Amino acid sequence: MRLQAVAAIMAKDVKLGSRNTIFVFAVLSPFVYTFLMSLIFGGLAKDQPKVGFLDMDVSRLVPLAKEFEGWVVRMYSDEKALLNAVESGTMDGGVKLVYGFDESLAKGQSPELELKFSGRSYASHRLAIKNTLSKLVREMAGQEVPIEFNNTVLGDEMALSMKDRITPFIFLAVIMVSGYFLTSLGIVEERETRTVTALSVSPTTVTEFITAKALLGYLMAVIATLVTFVLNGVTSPAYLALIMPFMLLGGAFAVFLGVILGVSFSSSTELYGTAKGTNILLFAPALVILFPGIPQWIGKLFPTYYIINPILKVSLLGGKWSDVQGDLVILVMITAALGVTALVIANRNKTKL
Amino acid sequence: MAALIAKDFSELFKNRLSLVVTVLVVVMIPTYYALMPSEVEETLVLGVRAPGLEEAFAQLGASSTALQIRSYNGTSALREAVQDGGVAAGIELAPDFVQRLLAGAKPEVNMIFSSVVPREARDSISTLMEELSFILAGQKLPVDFETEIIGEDLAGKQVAFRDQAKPMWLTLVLMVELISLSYLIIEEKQTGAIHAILVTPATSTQVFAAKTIVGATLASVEGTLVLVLMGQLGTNAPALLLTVLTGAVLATGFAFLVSAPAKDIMSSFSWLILVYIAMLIPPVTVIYPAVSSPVIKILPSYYLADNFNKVLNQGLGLREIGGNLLILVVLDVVVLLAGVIVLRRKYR
Amino acid sequence: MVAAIVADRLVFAYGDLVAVNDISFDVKRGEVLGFLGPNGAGKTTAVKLLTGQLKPKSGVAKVLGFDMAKEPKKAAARIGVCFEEKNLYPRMTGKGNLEFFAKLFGVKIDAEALLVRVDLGGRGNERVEDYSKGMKQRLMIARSLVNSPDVLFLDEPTEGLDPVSSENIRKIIREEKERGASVLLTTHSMLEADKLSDRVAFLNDGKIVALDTPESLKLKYGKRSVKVRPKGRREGEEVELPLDDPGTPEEIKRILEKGEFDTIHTSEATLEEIFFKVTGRGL
Repeated sequence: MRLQAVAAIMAKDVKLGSRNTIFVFAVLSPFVYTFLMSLIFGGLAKDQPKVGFLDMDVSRLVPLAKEFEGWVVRMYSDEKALLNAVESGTMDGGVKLVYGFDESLAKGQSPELELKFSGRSYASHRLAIKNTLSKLVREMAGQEVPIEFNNTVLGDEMALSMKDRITPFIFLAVIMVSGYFLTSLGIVEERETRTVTALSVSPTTVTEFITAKALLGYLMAVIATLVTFVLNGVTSPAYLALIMPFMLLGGAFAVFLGVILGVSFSSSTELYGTAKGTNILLFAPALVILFPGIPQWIGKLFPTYYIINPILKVSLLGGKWSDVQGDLVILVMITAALGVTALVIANRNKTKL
Repeated sequence: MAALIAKDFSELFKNRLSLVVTVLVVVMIPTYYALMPSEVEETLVLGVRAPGLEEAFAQLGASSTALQIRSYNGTSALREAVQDGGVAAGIELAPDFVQRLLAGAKPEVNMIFSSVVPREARDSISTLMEELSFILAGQKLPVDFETEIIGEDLAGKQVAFRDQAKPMWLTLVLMVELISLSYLIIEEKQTGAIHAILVTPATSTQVFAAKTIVGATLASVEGTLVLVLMGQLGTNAPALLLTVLTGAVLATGFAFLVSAPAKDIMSSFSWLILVYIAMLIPPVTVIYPAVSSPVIKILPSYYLADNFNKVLNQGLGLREIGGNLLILVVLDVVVLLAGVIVLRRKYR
Repeated sequence: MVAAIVADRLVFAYGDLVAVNDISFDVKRGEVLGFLGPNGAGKTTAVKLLTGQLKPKSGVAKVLGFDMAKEPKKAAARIGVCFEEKNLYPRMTGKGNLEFFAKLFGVKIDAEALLVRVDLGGRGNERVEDYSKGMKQRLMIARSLVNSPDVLFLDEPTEGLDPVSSENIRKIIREEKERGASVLLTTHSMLEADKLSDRVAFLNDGKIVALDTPESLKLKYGKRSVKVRPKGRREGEEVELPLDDPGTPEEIKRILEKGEFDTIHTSEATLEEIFFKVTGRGL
């Protein structure tokens, strides 16, 4: 195999990429999917109360508020902006700390604490905000919590917010756009324009041609997945190291699938229609995770489960190697089987190409 | 005209891609709507086992719309309630809790959580218990809260996400027709079939009229079907049907505009995505009013989304949405004409 | 000397349809062989066998000594192919297409010089999708020359070209022949085949029905005659006098002395007429 030919085809595809809608979409997919899914599904769970603070002085309450993990804090620099945010529902509540608040509190003068709630905020969030503020000012006033907690957690299920449950969907979508769709389309388009015929009478072999398409799709899938991790807050090197094998194997899985479809179809319309149909099978595990009401064992019947489940376990739940090694073994086997299938089908369709 | 209409319908249904996307959308949106919660859970439900303090906790629950307290006699019943999801958390207090609290002995509070409750939510619930214990211990709050509700108070009247999203679903359904119709137009351009049609007695006006009828009919039928399947048509059928129809014609006009510059199906993708994103922005602002801005009113789908929101979520009628309907009709004519002019030029 | 192209009893079928039926021929170094035949005669299939795109059912196709069924890529670096259908990268520029294929061949080229050669000078930075039909055809020719091939397969090279461009392409083919390249030229145009080919092969229903130089074919199958158009008659109303007829020289002398004619000229059979004679059907 001539690497020069592979590199030439890849370079050509990247150069033409900016004129190819699907290529551009694949590049932008981490951003598009992260944004869209957060938009669509984010509203399902207004998980945490959001509080805006306007600090007229430099109060100790603000850093304490930021430390508390049970809510989301945002700072505002003027009252109008804070009130707008509260009125529009961007913030569930708004707190105005007047000048000298800390001093008054220290002197036991019971200073006023202005608290505005958004009419759109949930009652439970209002309660949580008021209680949390009470806790924090008591702490500032030196009042010691008069009880001790003994926490018990029941069950094995994952404590996942809806946003967490969307994350596997996003990863899968990004891997599939680059690895699966872009690879297959790259092959099919050249068959449609008959440029593959021109390549076939050059020194370029079918193997070099398919390798170039697959390699480009693979690289794009891996890069896109990394970007997606960052966009979704998965940046810990330890976690990334643990999920790297799944990311790499997931990309290979997608690319092998792309090769199979690319050599099997001669028109992009047919490919597009089939891809839409296979999406249901590919994304089924993500849907099962998204809706915990569906029995989770169903997800295990689909190959892509072994890509997204480990990523979920490690990146969102802090899982260890022992939690995911079983999934890795299964994924290796599935990917290897798919790779062999891709090779056989590509070989069989060599003359058609 | 009849022949052109029949041909367009037939070609649309022969296209497997169009069929799949259409069926998918018409089936999945109502299914998704049905699966999503119909109510907003804004009350925190806590299970309590606190011998001797049942009355106090009952009063606490009664005094707040945000809190619901359920008392349990035994630990196992409480744990079961937590595990089943009947309560967000369980609080277990020993019989001498109050005495120990007043004596400053820091009594233990058993908090029972389900593993599905996120850590942040557990922190919030623990904070509630802390505050309660301060109150029981007689420790006065060192601040005076001055609270106020800004805007209409929707506590107890919150609109569920699935209903806030109705304008978005319906806009999506209407815009899906963009794919089918633009595919048909592009294919006719690619194969040259359109030129074969234009050298027959059929005029370009008839060709466009046929496509408009086909596109608008299909989109209207799909939109209506989704409304029926979601059980929403009965809210105000005339207002909804008129809005759907104007939206359908708008989608058809955009299909013409999108097909004109595209050389093939794949290159139309980029135009389609742009139009989709632009059209979906206004309905998204119904869900997230924080991102709304006066600029959004230049997007045609603003009037669609506003109509759907007003009729479906606010119970308003034809009189209140009349202005928007008029604007939509004008926009329909403008977009359709623009689409026809641009596409006609490409046919030449 | 080993021939550049050798087809030895080649057979290929698409299902039950035998497209190439036991054809044998060779093309020597520096020779131009014209492949003439109607649509469906098997010309394109024969070219596909010789360029390694298809494997023969039986027989051998060799190019530059390499069996194209077994070692197509060994010959690939030294052949150039201009296909009948345009298979250029539409979103790439003309220059981009040439440079890309040059990379695949592992050669360095002066793309602009090549474009100038096919009369596309200065148009190399435009996208192929914006080229006219003729421009695309010329770019196809240019692409087939990227690796300075030893063997050229040209399938309808002047299709869609105006007379000036066609003549330019014919000039290029002659230049390549002079350079020592062997050319297999498939065409419908008997004029082109006549002007360019050292030999022509007539294909019909997958078989070679005649293979010789154009002159020999004309001599063998043609009718030698003199055509005279009497004064006042229209074109097409000539009187034909067979040269082999003993009375013809006297008749010609009489016509010339009387001067009662508008035109007088010898007439040779065209390749098209010969083809019809040999196969019973037109091109």
